Amino acid sequence: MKIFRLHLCSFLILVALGASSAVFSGLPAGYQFETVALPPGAVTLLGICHKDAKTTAVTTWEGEVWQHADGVWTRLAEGMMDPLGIHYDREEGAYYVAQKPELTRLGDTDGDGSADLFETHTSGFGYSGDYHEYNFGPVSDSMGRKYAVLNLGAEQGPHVRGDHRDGPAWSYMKYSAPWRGWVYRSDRAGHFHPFATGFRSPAGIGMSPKDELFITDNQGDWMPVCGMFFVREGGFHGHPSGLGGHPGFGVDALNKIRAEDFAEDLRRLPAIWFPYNIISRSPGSPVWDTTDGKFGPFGGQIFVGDQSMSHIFRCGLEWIGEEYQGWCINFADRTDSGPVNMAFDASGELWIAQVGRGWSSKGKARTGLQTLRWDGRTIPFEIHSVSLTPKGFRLTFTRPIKLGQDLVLALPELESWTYNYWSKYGSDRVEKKRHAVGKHTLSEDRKTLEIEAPLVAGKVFEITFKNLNAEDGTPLVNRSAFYTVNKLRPSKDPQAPGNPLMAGSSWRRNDNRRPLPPVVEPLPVEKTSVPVPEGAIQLGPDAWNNPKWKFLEDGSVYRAEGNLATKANFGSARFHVEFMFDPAEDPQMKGQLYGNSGVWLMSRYEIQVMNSFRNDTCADGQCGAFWGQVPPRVNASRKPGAWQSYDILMKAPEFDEAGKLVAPTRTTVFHNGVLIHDDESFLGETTRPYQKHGKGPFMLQAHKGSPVAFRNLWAVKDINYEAALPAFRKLFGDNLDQPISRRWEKRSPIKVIGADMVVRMDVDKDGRLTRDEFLGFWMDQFGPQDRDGSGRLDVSEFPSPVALKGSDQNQDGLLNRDEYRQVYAPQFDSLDSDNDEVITSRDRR
Amino acid sequence: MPGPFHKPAHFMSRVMNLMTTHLVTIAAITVVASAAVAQSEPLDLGSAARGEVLYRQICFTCHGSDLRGGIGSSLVDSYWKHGDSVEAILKILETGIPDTNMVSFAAMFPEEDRRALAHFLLSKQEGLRHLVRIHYPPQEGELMLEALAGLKPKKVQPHPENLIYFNKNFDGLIHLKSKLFIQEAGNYRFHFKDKGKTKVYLDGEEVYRFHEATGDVKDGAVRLEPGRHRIDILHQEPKEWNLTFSGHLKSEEGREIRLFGKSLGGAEPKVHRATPVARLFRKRVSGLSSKSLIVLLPNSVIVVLNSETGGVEKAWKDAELDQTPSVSARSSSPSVIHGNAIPRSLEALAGKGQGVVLESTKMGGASIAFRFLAGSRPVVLTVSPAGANGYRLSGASDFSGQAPVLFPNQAFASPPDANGNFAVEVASTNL
Repeated sequence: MKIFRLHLCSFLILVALGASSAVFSGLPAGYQFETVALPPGAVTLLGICHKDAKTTAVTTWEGEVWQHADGVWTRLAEGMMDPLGIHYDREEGAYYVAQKPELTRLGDTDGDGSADLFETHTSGFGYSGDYHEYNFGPVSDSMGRKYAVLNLGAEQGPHVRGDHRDGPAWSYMKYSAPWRGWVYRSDRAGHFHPFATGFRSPAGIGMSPKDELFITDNQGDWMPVCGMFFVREGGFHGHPSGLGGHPGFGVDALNKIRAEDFAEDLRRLPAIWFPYNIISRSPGSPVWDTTDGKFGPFGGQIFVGDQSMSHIFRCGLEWIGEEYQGWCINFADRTDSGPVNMAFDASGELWIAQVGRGWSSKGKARTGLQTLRWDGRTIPFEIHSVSLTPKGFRLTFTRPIKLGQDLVLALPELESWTYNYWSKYGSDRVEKKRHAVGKHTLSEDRKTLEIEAPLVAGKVFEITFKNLNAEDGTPLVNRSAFYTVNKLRPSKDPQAPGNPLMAGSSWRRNDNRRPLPPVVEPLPVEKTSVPVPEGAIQLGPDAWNNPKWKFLEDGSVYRAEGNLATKANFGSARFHVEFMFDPAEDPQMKGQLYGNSGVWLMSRYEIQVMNSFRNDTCADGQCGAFWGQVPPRVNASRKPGAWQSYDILMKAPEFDEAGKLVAPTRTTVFHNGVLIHDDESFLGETTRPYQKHGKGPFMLQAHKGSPVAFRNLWAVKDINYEAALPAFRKLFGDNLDQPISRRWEKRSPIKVIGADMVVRMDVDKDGRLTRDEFLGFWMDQFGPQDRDGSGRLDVSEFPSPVALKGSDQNQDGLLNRDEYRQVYAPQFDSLDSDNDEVITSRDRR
Repeated sequence: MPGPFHKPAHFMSRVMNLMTTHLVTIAAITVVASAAVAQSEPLDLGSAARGEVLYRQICFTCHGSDLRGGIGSSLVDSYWKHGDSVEAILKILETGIPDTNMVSFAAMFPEEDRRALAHFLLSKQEGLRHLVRIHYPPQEGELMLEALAGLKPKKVQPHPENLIYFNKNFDGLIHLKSKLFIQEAGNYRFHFKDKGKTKVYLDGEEVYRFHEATGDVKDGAVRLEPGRHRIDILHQEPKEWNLTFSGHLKSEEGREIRLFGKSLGGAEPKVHRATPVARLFRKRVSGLSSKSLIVLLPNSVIVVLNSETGGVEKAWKDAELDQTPSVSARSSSPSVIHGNAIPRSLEALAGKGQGVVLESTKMGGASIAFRFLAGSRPVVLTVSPAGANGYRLSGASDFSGQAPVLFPNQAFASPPDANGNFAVEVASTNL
């Protein structure tokens, strides 16, 4: 009994301490959690969003959607399948809910407060019934396009084992159904558009106020720890199983490809790694503090909840080297249960939907709904933000720091490390190093501390203040910041490019780093002639307004001075265009100069016309691209000299009376019988944003470059796009995908041979040199070198007497073809340092 | 190395653990005391007869004449959210249940009648009631009820709602102490999970024994008379991250009586039954396609449509959907449909090779209308109840040569007309 009393006493003391001391509260001063009563009946919360200033909606694992207003819950829907997220589209006045098999739009047609219409917004992805096939989202960009991300399967399916061949099957997440591992986009019409891949168990998705997509993923195979990715259209973010849906790889390739095939050249690093069990173990969706100060001094920063650790942390991003990278710091501990989704309401309170299912959460409640509110006055003592400087870090505090005897005592400890990228489940910290802080300076207001540190790219830096107090003695509670240094900051920040990142895709116009579409075989010419439909208008010589373009007798016309526009105006319409590039002998005629023109729909929206057969340029500038906006799905170009075709179905944009865009264009395009745009929208006019307009002439563009000819042009006016689309998509049969003839193209350059030589040797332009390509190139030189046509090279014909002697097996002082090959075959072997029969960026001298 | 901000938390949690251990001990003592008090008063069959008369006057409108529920919940299943003692039932009759249609009946029924109703309800129970779960440390050797008397329980937990939940990494001996309600005399057999060791005593006599390590087994065949029996279930198995333990009693005729359910920290089971409006569920059910549409009609018929063909995958009468056959399994266990199978009718909305895509679902009172694109042509397929035990599918479309496909032995109630309208019906008469 005596012992018991003792414990009771110490318990009371601790309770008192806990109440008064920030050290134990785990909550920054001025912030308060409040628990919101749950809807009636036990439910398990997953998704949350705000419809308006007073209405909040949640989804539950059990399949229900509830609305909360004025303290009262009403049930909007039931029976949905694991609805992991919810978004309210204010423009449409409708909720979107991600169910496992589809993204659903809810309607309440009789206005009784209960959904009675469930529209399948998009279901273009596979769902096999595997428990792990979650559908996380949706979020929306400013054009109203929805984004959600598909978890890989765990049970069955192809996957990539890399070097870890004998690992247990459960430890690999699998491509269990189409588009698993992908984030997809659907436009307002609900068209499914696979957007980017490489995700494993991406339980968090968020859209920045600038229309940039971010996804958090969970530690496991190919994911060393959890992290947050800045997602770009077409990007690959680390987990290779999703490459099963990539047009450059495909399911069949999955079991064969090697880690090197994608690791070095394709993989995008997360903008922020979340140190495991310190910052995160199961991150949820990121939300941006856009509360205008209502949520405290962290405006613009990103808040993420963690399900298993049951806390909330802060992140900040910096734009360095044309990518985002940044830091994370703990923020508020001890939520009731495990946060998964969060949303700021109009008053600046953060609503946190929580669940203790899935991975068990530190927060003990089975589920929970809490708000986190700032009192509007108290500035907690925190590391406000971290910035990478060319030589170290700049740390900004929310309040002035206290200086004791010496600033040195307040300096942080520094440690850095990286992670293994492999198929094993997770990675420890590797290459761990402790660093001494170099020079340091404190700003006059004592809120900004600059430190120098031995920076290395590709490392996470932990900056920990062991002993730091604010001026009034308040100790720093969240004492560690973690900065992911993917890239170093140059000593002088480069001037920002003039063209902004494009909404949604997050590439700049004509961005050379944007992955090129895979190259496929076009359909044979005889299969790409299409019957001219009834009512089609032939666009012959009389249809146009620019006499400088001379029609030839065979009906073709070469690009000439000034654009060529039709006399007639077109709105929603179908077009057929044939074009051909003269083979260009002039070596200057390459890139954008090789046969450049363009097809301008309504004179405002350009589909690029240029030679993209073994003539690479930027992805959104190549043949078939919505120029400067959307690359074609695939590159289906024919050789110069061959006639090619576009078949285009286009829906004109819609505007309201005030001139505001109501619905963007929708366009479906076949290039040589291959689908290159599948119900895609122009992001605006080619050179400016959407502006209200009526019908407009169809136009062919004048452009400098080698000659390009057109022929057999016709149009069908006033098409009902929606009605015509299903049949149009089958114009060349049911199979919309052609075999890939070249794999993913953007590869690190070969280092062992000069770039100009690689260009000449690399026949299939895949950035790799096979033995056939290498020797083929040299064998092609034999003829020109053999000036006397004797079939043998003498010392005057062959530049290296030493090599000649070395390979002259019959010792006749001459090189025949076989001997000539022997000069180069050993060269290939020595250049191919990893003996994989192909010279790649991995080969070293 | 964890970041420094975790140190206070670790320290705190250690202290808290220390404290919790003591608090739990106190709590356990209290619970033992209250569990003893919670023994329900004995059943009075005369009173129950009076209760039945009252039930048939009022209560059946919501809870069904078979007590299996309707607007209100079932009063004879194994799940008792508000407690299963006479006292608990009396309290509900007196005060009602907030936020539900169950109002207070204190004004309508005097206390004697309320008590009669409670006795009636308890007289109709089957399976375990008044369940108390007691944990002991793991025990070597054979499990013996008598041996427990000398052991100190680690935890005593009454489960008036009849759901049990084990903490993560549970390691110990479980003693489930309960009353077994039996309605029909007959030969029964106990079934339990075959793992570790299990023993069951009925009115103090050993009736079931399983010992994995020694192979010592006594099958649970037992003769049961109507009434209440004292039952003690002992079970122990190696430490489990997510221990599940369940059991049931099966009659000679194959009738199954579930003994107790599993719960995750108090999550409720969710069994969906027919209501006056048709309901749609998208749930994983073994044997059904992953994207299936489960329609629960007001006449308790469940029709499952395949969303990628528009055809019927399966159909049942007297059906219900159990969404939580295992709520503790992270929702990874599929839902289960209970009912009696009835014929399928429509095989597909279009012939082979014609893609069928679900576009939308419109709820409309007793029926649900699905809009499909069948080979690029829209079809609205409406599922509605037909008679007491059947269902009707009617299609409105312009098929233009694509006929809907029926299963063999099915005929159109109304064959496709020139506009593609059709109906097919599986009615009570042809079941």
